Amino acid sequence: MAFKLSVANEATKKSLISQCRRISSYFQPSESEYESKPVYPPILDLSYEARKERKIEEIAQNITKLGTVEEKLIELNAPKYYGWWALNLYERVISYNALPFTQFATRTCLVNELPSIYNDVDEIALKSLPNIKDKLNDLLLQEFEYVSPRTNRKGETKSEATESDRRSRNFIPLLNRLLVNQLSQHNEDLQTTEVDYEPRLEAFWSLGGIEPGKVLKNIREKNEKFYKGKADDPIDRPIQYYGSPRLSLRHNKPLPQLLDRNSGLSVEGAVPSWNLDPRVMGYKYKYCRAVNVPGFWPGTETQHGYMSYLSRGYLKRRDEELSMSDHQDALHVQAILHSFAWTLSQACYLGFGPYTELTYPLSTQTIITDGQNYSFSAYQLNTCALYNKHSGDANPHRNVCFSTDEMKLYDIIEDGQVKGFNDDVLKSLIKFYLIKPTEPQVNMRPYLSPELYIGNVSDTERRQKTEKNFKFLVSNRPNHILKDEIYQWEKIYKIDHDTRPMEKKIRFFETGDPAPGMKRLDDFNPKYVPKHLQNPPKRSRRGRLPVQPSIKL
Amino acid sequence: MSTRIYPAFKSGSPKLRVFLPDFWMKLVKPSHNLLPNQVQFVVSSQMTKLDVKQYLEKIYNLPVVHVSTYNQMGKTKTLPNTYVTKENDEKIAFVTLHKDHTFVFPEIHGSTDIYDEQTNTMKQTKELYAQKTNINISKQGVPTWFSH
Repeated sequence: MAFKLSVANEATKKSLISQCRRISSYFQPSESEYESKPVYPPILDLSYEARKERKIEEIAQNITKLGTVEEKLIELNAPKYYGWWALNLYERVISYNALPFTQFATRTCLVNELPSIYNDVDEIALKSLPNIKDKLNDLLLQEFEYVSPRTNRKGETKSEATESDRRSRNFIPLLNRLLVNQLSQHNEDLQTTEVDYEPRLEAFWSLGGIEPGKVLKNIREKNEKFYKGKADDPIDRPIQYYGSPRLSLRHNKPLPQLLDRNSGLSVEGAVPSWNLDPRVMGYKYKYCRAVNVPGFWPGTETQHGYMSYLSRGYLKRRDEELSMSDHQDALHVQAILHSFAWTLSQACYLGFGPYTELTYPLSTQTIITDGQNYSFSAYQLNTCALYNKHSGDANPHRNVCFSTDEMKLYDIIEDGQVKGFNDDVLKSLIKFYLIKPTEPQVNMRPYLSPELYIGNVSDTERRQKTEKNFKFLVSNRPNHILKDEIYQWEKIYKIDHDTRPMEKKIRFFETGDPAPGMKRLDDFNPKYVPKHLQNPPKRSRRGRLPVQPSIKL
Repeated sequence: MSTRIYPAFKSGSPKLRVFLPDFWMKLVKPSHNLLPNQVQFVVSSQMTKLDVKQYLEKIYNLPVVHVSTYNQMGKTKTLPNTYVTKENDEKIAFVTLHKDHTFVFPEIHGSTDIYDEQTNTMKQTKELYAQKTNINISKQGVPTWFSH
């Protein structure tokens, strides 16, 4: 017979139960442990593919569960003490025919015209055009006619690429200031934007669907028992992007949606398929940290990107070395990569990330210019989790990039006059500044706890540890302790050919220890704490504390 | 660049206008999957990227977009109870052509089916033999002529 036990609190109940259990099973625990119908655990698919998927989903869940932005970003780095062996993409190093790979790597579909949201502000743009045109004329003359390039003692200037970058570094902030001042009357939100000059933009994501390298293929082919027919199964490759726009504007409200996330191009857009290792493009792998920095630190109020300017001096060098036919593609690639990286790192600060899928879209605007040539692009991020099979057909969403071809603002400047001024380019430029950021209707941070950032957490130890770790990881400082290295003679005389069997096995690859690359971030001996500071203090043999407390106990 | 012996030039004598560098290139089957417009060569170690590019452009009229080279160390070999020897080092060049200009390395020896068949039959006979010897492991050492 079962009695329902009613007591003051859980502690007394537990002590009573433990006492009773020693005597008899008369007092049964309360009914909350029993259900009316049996509840079975889910039946799991035990095949190799399903187990692999569950493993990766567990990793993704572990990151999604964490409550603060900094902890999620640290957890991305947690499996690798020495850093991820990741593909390094730089903003200004774009290889030949890079567009198909870039589209696949960022799951972007490319459209060659600006979206319809810019048609709404057409009229206002036309109205303000004449006024701005005069001032812009003066600015162009100032920067490109009257300012002479810096020369050394011999009268030589630096290369064309460097000179172009220098001129755009001076011109772009002045252009921005002119447009913000003139258009603030039409768009008051411009007055509350924050400006960054050459901010640090870094983004990390994991790309699935890449074919394995030779070493892994050989291992799989030898291990036929598990990998029969699966030697060519695709793997995930981490990608780390480094870039820095010339100028970026930020606001505390996000840009409006460019198009619906669940229909149209976002679901049906064409994304090229790709499965080769990106090293065939000429890109390199490097050990690096997983860093997601959108140009500002977590906790900033103006954390939604509004617009950014990129410079294109590197194209002059690239056109000489590679072919001119790839010129327009390079601009598209630069726009896509920058927009994806910026929106992804902003998404990381909102609780999403490379292992946590978005629940609403993020958009951004980009202008690539050197003063004369302008390319406009608007980007919408619909999906940021591209790991495992989510980089292919299993992911219904695609990101969309609306990117125009390059257009000239003016043909030539001679005799103190700007000739061949193109009004359409200026109109597009003005339209970019007239888009108003909107307060969104959705829950912006569904995967974050109410504290949001580690600075708001009250637990001192956790807060201090996390903050210190986060700042170290994101600083990209090299490791103090270098990774263990196999010397070439050891590779030949010990590993490839066993010519020294009688020697002591003390090296890291001989002792049977796990490979250095498997070392996790928390896998180290903690700092030594002297005994009298250890918690709790150790008592002496006579039962007295070594240091008598000041308060009478 | 050249190991030929050229006559020493003295002013007044006619100039030698033919110059033959020791440059050679060997088209090989790609060691890993490349893009359709990429080709892999083994080239003379004395050649630079520019030399590879100009070799293809001037002699074969191939517009080359990009070349990347690296020196590959020869494989080490050993037989039991002998020294470790090393094959010669090679310079590998990956040449990127225009994106519409595709190239597929042709099948020279036909398919490798015969080789696979031989290895498969070898494997099968080995497995069969292992099965047979395993069945009567208690009768180890007894020849299979006796019933099993």
